[in-house]
Amino acid sequence: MLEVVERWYNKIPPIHRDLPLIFYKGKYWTPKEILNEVRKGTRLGEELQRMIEARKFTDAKTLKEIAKKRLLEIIKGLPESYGVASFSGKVYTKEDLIKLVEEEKDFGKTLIERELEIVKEELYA
Amino acid sequence: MKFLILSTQYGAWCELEYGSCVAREIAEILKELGHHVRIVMKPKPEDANKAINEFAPDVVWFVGHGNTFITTLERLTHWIVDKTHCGGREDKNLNILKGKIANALSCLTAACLGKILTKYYGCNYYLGYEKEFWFLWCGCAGPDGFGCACGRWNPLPGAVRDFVNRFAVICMHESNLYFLVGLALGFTPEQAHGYSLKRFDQWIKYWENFKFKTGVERYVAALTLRLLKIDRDIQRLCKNGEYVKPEEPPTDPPEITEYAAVQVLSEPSGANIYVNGELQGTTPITLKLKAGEYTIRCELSGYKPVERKIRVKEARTYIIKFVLKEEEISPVKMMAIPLTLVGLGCIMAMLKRLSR
Repeated sequence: MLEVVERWYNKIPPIHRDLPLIFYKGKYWTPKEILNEVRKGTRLGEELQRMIEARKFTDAKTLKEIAKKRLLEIIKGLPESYGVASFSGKVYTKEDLIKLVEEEKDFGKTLIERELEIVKEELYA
Repeated sequence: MKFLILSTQYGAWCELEYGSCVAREIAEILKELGHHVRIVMKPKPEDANKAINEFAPDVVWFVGHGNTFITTLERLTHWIVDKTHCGGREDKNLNILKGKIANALSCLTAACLGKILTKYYGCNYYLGYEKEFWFLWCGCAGPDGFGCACGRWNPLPGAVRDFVNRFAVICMHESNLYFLVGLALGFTPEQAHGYSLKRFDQWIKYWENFKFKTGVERYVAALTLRLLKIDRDIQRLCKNGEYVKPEEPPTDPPEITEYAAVQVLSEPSGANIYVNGELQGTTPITLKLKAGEYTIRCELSGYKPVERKIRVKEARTYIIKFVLKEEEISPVKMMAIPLTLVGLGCIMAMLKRLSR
């Protein structure tokens, strides 16, 4: 039912609707893309709809990859001069963050772990 | 209650236009709520000890950040803890925080200190961060090479800069402020912790629903949201060496809106509240008001009515407490928490400190 997908979509924070959330048939899908595909009524849309209705998505490894992809997209979209800092004096530039996330190290690991929780919350919303 | 504020940053905060958790301002709020407050600026360790011993506070609030380049509360707390930990050599400092509630507005000051203070030093409760907290950084480097969160060196004007301002304000101040206000309102430490976490949740919701206009705004806001969630997760209240779950507070913190949020309390509660003559409800109540001047009247059967004029600015939070008496009109207690959503002045001052 389209309503189920719309309800699921509406529970996802607006700021996240353009971030990849599902990996299916070799493609990362954002909630917005999924909703559009379901609305079109294509076979692919039906398959995605069934996934959402059944809340059956993907394995843990792929979820982690989705989390990393989302983070990298966010970080790469930052202005060049932006990064993350703490009051201990640690500063990570945009480039540092990209590297840390790709290598799953240090603060990059923290970000991935947090992102994984966000992904799960939104998938099972 | 007695609140002792030990602040290394007070001087700098005086310059702030929008300081949301300026020691001076939170002190006024606490006083208006009927509490005793003492502030010690830039204390040396012996000053801090003396104040704790003489004033015998219920709550000790460490204000300062842990940047190791400057004299910080981190050194102070290090001194209190480590010097008291070495086999009696500094017995005079032992258990200095015994029976107190300690709160720290700093990542380094706070990180992992809660367990030590509550388990080995008799501190009743400790609210702080289990790990250091993180904020979005705009890296036009300051004089020392360390970054400026934003402010006058920020190359990006307007809305994007505001993101950073808002975020830094939240992380640095709000949860701490609401914890203290919660205590001052008579909540248990667990409830006050819940009160402060609710404020975090409000900000998270705000960012989740943020209507970004550009791609840059979207990515900056998205990263901000993630940092905020990480920081919320590591804010912990500690008792007897163990982390304590927050409890639901009896009153929600005022919502974050573009209106001024005016939280009206009364003693006793249940009083009718009129704004410019129109009944709004009964206390406790949170009013959403546009910027302007209002007359707020508090009436409760059997008590003298009390009236107060207030001027509010948008996107700020105010607390007004009416203390009602049967025979005579009591003074009106009014507190303003200038929780600005866009604390440019705050950030500029922060930059100054960071760049020292």
